[in-house]
Amino acid sequence: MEGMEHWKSKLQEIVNPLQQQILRTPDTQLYTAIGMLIITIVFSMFVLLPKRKKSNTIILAGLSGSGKTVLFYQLRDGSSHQGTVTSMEPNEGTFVLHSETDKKGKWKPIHLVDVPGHSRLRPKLDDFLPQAAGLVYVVDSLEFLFICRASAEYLYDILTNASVVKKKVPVLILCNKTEKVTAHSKDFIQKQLEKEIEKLRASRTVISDADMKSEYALGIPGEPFAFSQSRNRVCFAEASGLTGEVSQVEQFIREYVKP
Amino acid sequence: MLTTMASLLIQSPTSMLKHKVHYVNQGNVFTCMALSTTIQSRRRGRRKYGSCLMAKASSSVKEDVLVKELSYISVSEKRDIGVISVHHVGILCENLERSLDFYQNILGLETNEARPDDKLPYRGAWLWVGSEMIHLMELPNPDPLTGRPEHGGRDRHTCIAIRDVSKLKGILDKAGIPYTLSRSGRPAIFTRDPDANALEFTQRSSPSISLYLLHACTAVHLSSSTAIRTLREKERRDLIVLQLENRYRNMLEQFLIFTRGGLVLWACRELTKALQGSPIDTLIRSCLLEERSGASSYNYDAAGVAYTLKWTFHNDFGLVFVAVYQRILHLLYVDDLLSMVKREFSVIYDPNRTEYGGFDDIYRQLRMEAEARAEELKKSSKLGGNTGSKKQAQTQKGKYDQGDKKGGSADLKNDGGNDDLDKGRKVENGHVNWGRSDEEVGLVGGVNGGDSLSSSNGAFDVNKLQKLRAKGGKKTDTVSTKGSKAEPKKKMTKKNRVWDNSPPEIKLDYTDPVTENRDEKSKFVAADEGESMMDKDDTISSDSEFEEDEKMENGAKVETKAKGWFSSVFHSIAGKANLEKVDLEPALKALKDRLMIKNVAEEIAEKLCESVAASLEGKKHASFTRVSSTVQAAMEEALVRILTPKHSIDILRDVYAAKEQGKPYVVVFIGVNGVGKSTNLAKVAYWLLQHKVSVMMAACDTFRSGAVEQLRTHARRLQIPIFEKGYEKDPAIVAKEAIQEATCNGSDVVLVDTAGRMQDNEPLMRALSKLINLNNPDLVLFVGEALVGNDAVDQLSKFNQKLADLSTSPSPRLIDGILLTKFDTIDDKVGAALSMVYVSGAPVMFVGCGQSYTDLKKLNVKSIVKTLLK
Repeated sequence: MEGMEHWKSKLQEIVNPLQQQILRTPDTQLYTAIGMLIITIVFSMFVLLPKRKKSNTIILAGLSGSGKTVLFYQLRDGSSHQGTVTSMEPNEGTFVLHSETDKKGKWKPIHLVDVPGHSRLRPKLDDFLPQAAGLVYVVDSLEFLFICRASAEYLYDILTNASVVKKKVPVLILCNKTEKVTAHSKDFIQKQLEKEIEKLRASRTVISDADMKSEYALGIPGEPFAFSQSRNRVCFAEASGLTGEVSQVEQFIREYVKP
Repeated sequence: MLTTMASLLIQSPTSMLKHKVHYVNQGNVFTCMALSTTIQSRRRGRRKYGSCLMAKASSSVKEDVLVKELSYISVSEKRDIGVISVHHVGILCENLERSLDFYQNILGLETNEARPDDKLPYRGAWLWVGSEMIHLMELPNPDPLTGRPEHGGRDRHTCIAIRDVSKLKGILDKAGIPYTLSRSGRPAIFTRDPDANALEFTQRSSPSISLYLLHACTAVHLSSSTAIRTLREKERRDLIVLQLENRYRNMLEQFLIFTRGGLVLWACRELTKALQGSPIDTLIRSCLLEERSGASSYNYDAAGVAYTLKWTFHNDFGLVFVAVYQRILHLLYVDDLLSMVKREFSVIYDPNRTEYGGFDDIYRQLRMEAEARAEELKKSSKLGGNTGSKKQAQTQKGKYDQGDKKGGSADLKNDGGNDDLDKGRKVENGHVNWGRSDEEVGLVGGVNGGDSLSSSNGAFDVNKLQKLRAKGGKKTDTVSTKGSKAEPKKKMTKKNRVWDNSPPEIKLDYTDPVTENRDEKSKFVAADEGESMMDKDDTISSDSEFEEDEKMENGAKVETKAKGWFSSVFHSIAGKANLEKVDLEPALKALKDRLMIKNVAEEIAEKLCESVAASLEGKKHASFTRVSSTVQAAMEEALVRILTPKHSIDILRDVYAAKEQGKPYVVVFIGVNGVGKSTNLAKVAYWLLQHKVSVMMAACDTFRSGAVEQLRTHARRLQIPIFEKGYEKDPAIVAKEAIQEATCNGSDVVLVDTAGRMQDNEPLMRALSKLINLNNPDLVLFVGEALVGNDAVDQLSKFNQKLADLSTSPSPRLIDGILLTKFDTIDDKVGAALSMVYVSGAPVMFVGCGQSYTDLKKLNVKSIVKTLLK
């Protein structure tokens, strides 16, 4: 008990000067200090707590040369500038769509990512997919017959990607370059892609066990594949990056990133 | 319409263009364009003064041309239909044989065999005139045969440039063909062909052509007939080169500035000539993205064109600068121009801006400077001795880098002095002085550095010099522009230092650059303790050096280390302005060693490091990171990129595709001896069988005893058919029969086993090439063992090389994929996978990792990369 008393007095010795110190300090200083403390705590909470907001990321994917970068700049600036070359790095930007900048009202900016289509750069797509609110898969409808297989393979990889399947990321398959006379129609492209994916389904499911990636099966077993079977929404649209005819893409984006 | 030479001269270029268009409209096959001029005009989109030059036939002075160039630019921008050159001249004749006799036997023109003459409804022939052609057409001639002006110069005519008019005169005399000489006394001769079409032959004097010829002669070590042919080709080429180089300096086909994201920011508008094919995209896809950006140039070949592309990066802004020019022109100024444009462009660059219309003028100015410099360099290199040893040049290079870097100090006076030092050095070496720095800096004192350094600078290699200049020039000029221009430069401020740099410069020459670097740094730190905190560049390099090279026992003093550690902490927190090559070097070296420990071929490790350095240099260093970790991250990215297959490696998909077409899918296994071709063939067969594909084996190893029996054993165990024809048969034929057999019995896949062969064994490689070309398999699988180190490069490159060289078809089949065997025996030394993929560009399709049939895997790129960098 004595020890206790002893300690108490010791504590008193320490606390008393502090009390006096506090009393002595002007009120304003005290409040400022407290205010600062609160602000710091609130601020750090903002920073540290994970954002639970809905994502506003839209990804542009597709083979090299399908016109993703042009679309990116069409959506951002409403112009394709002096043209583009093969991308080596993703283009990223958070902005309000160009067509909406004239309109009144407040628009929610979109985080648009243009992922290069070169096969060596494909792994980059995995970095962006988990945060995607929607994906625009761009197809070159002019050269479609030559790239059909490669395009279907890439699309298959995207549609079976874990985060796409889990989060049911909506996919817009965009047939680009429709300004050209010889471009294929979107119905034709849809049919061809379905056919190709059907074949891939057969060959891919058997190698999936050898591969390290956990793949998800696409479509309903025993039935020919159709995009309507996939769990996430897959729709088709047409656009022309060069002439700036991108209204269908904008519509799609606004469907999933609410203004 | 048919203007004579003289009248052409006084006409405005615009009206000439009209004339030309008029020609075309009329469809008149006779043109009075002198063929010789096509050589000059073909180069540029601006052809107007190309034709002006034609008028100024023999001796147009360069300055003259430059003046013209400037005054005509406005015209050319307004009207440009994208003219390239005169392609051919059509000449009508009554009797093709008679005309051919004249053109071939008397004039000695060669026919262009490549051009078919049977596609047209009338008979004809194509004759080469330099790089252009004459098209002889057997058609009724609307022109009268009589009553034409006697002198061909007054008639519509075609002019061919030749080297010796007097010789032709003799030939014509002998053949009894009438001719007239030029009225104005030019060395030109006018004559008519059997159909009275007027021809002019004008002599083009080219004094140094003999020099070029000599060069051509020495360069050719071929059999005599080929030599003559090549010589002729070269002669023709060199003539073009010579004339072009004499007349014009601007010979770029295209100059582009674009972001790494792919947006073109600026394209040279003067060079309106459309590129053939898509060299830029090809460059990016097959060079820059394949981690080959450490190379200095890239050659692009497409139908009819051969371009060379050079590029440079601005890594901090993520910009790429690309220049495209015709391969035959060895443009010396391109490197220089690239670095100058890079420097100037980075000043005006703004990430939010996408139009740089105002850059046109700056570019034009830069180009002219670069050209002038290259010109002078060429002249001086002819005079000066080019005997400097490589090593010396390298030491010099190191010195320049350092000197220049330190030259970027804050006070103008100091850097001016340094600039002069550099200048002095260059002048003294018999090379060009910096016209630009002179103008812009305008500082006094030009020779003070030159004298003190004269002893240490010998003559040196010209090629090296070019690089040196580009490098040194880049940096010094940055400083000088800063000094003179008012434009703010945020990036530059951090680099500034206030050191006197003369002592190390003089010293450097004696030692190997690396050790010198180190010594110098420690010395500096010791001497200038008070200031080293400011000196971010150098301390970071010394500290990263010691972090990385601790095991390598560097001789740095304790003092240095302590300082290094402190500043390293400081740096990692503060972040550093821009990464310099010097900062990267130690980290890269450590990384290279690590790669080599993992069994990556040295050559490959070296190239990779260069490429990574190229991608990092000048980049902003992020806060809270060390240089080594930045480098490691970049390397990891590069490795993932390399190992990710370029095209799909889904064999089953391909098998199904082949099945649809009703033919078997043929896989040929090739490789050196004892790597496990047959064993892994059996494993692949087993894997295919599991996926309900019917497989057939073809025993085309007709060389090694027991090979067929070995395969037969596998076939029996796997219960699959085998096609064999015993030994001593031509494997190509056996394979062909096997494929026929498979087509008949409906097998989906044919696996062709071949004999193992060393890559240097010519006869066996020839046999392999024959097998592959004859059967055109769907997949050529190179089987290589994972144990191999430096030899991997040799094996793969030689196999590929031999397949390409020994092939008779124009598009030879190369290796499509790699099967890596004995992967279970190598622990973490997985470097062979990287070496092989890098060398061939083909993906690793399978990995063999054991003795049983099931031991076949796919390559896991991520784990390989992890292991490599562990």
